Amino acid sequence: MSLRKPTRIEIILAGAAVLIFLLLLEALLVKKGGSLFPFAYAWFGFSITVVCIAGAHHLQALLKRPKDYYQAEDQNG
Amino acid sequence: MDEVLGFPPFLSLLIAGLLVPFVPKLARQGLLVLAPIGALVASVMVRADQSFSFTILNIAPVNFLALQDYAPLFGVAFSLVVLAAGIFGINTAKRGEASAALIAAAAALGVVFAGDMISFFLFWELLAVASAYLIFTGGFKHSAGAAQRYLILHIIGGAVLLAGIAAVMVDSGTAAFPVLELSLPFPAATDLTAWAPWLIITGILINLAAPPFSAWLPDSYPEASPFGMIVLSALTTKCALFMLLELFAGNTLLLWMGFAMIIYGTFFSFMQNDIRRMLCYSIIAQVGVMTVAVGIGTEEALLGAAVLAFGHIAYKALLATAAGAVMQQTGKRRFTDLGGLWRVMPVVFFATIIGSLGMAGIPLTGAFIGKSLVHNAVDSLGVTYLSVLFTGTIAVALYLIFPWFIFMGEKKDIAIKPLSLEASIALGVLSLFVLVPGFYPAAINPLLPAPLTHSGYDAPHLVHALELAAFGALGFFLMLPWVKQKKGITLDIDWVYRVLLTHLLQLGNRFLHHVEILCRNVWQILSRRGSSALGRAFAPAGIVADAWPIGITMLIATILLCIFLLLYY
Repeated sequence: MSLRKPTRIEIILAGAAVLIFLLLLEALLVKKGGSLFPFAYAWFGFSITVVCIAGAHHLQALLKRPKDYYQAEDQNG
Repeated sequence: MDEVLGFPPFLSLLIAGLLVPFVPKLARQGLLVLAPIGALVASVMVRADQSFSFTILNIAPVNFLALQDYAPLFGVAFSLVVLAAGIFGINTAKRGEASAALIAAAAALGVVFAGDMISFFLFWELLAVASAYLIFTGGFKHSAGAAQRYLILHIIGGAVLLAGIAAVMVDSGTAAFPVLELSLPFPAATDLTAWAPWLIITGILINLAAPPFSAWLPDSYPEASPFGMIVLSALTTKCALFMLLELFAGNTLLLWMGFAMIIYGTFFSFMQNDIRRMLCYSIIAQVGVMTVAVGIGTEEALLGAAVLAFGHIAYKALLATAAGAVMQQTGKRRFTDLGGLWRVMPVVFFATIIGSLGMAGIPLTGAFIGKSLVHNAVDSLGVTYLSVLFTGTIAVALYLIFPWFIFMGEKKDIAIKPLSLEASIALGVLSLFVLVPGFYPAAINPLLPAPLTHSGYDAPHLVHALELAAFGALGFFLMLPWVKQKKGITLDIDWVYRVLLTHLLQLGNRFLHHVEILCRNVWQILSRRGSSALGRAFAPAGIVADAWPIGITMLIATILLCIFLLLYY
């Protein structure tokens, strides 16, 4: 039996299941007093990634050059 | 007095490095593999009572062997990376390149096992020169220029470091490693002794690639060959981190410097199109996390920094090897030229996944142990240091860039060469290097000053590490259109000395050229008019040939005598 390629919706559902499972585990930790900063890792893992990507995207407009600016010849990136 | 009471780990690599250019290919291949194994064994065997000292230049005995707290850990990591690089480049590394790699690794081992400041400085400079040559032999169009810039910056850093070391030695009268305190506010300009720690830390921060001295790293390493990049990725910045651990632990300045490195490295990583430039910026971000831990300075934080460095050396070398394999198989080095290759390059793909999991600090990798120790250290300090934790998580965002844009996403039509056996073996060795400390943390106990009391395998650390990686991935995929790489290069701080300074020099040159033309024209006019005036004066009917009254002649003679008297007195 060969495995078929999963559809996009199946991948999204699987990912969501993993995230919810991790949040439930964290809730269990908070309840047992084993987490000093509740949900901090999940929240900052997500938010800092988003902030970094958005920041880098906007910084790119300022710093990116289509050719090798230093060598004055097109290296095509 | 000369004293040989031990076998320094650098010796086998140094001898092999010096021999490699002169021996036949088979012997060269043997040395590339056997010398790192010798260094590995020697790193484990070093004991506290051993020394290896010689009198150099009739100054004082220089000790080339001492057991610092984390030296065996770094020594083993360096040796393993050079071993893997040796296997990777066993057929492709050129004579000079192989020699430079072995000598650079010897110098790095010399730094971490240095017995005093003189031997530390000698190896520090040897590392700079050997690394520059390794970049020089990279074989790319810009390798020579990048090597020149690397060498200039590191020689300047070395000179600053030497000034600091000299000041400390003059003050203390000994070459032994001192306890250094950075005095604030800044000392008086004439107080060289008080400036010494600042000079030493500046020299070290240049090698650490801390802003604003950071641009040398992404400028130079990607211009080395794939073999060279594997070796380089492990040595310079980690030697600098080791020296911070030994000399400046607990300094608050490092906390802020680490923050700056994390933010700078992460932002610039997202903007890169060259695979290896991206890896270079991520080195800065992740070394920043370790620098923050050194800045915290508690025993657990320092242990965390060292163990994290051990894990970092492993996964970074693995990713550098994977990048080299991608370049060898596809002939491409830019994300925009690659994509969807996981089916045709399965070995490299799985090695990349292991390296990326290491980068994310996922359980069962060596980096997880180090990150858990650092997070523990932050937890023990309480809410005051919450920002440390949050900033430390920034670097986690990077781990998906490499595997996603090369192996997943849109498939590119690229001709693929088969993966060489030696590249597969190197990837396997480095994958084990990433995974073994994660599966069996006790394996690194013999390399530490005290056994690990905490390996991170408890519910909070496991859940937190997985949360960081999984929610980071969520953010990554939601923002995917903005992460997508674009063709082009990104300007960095090196713009100041590569573009601005060049423009200023050109401007100065043009100004001087105009001044020269102006002077020449003025001189021509003056000489032309002067010569015609003299010609007229000395002509047969000129003023000189005229008969002058005796009174005027006397007046001229008197004026000349007065001038003579004035000049005489």
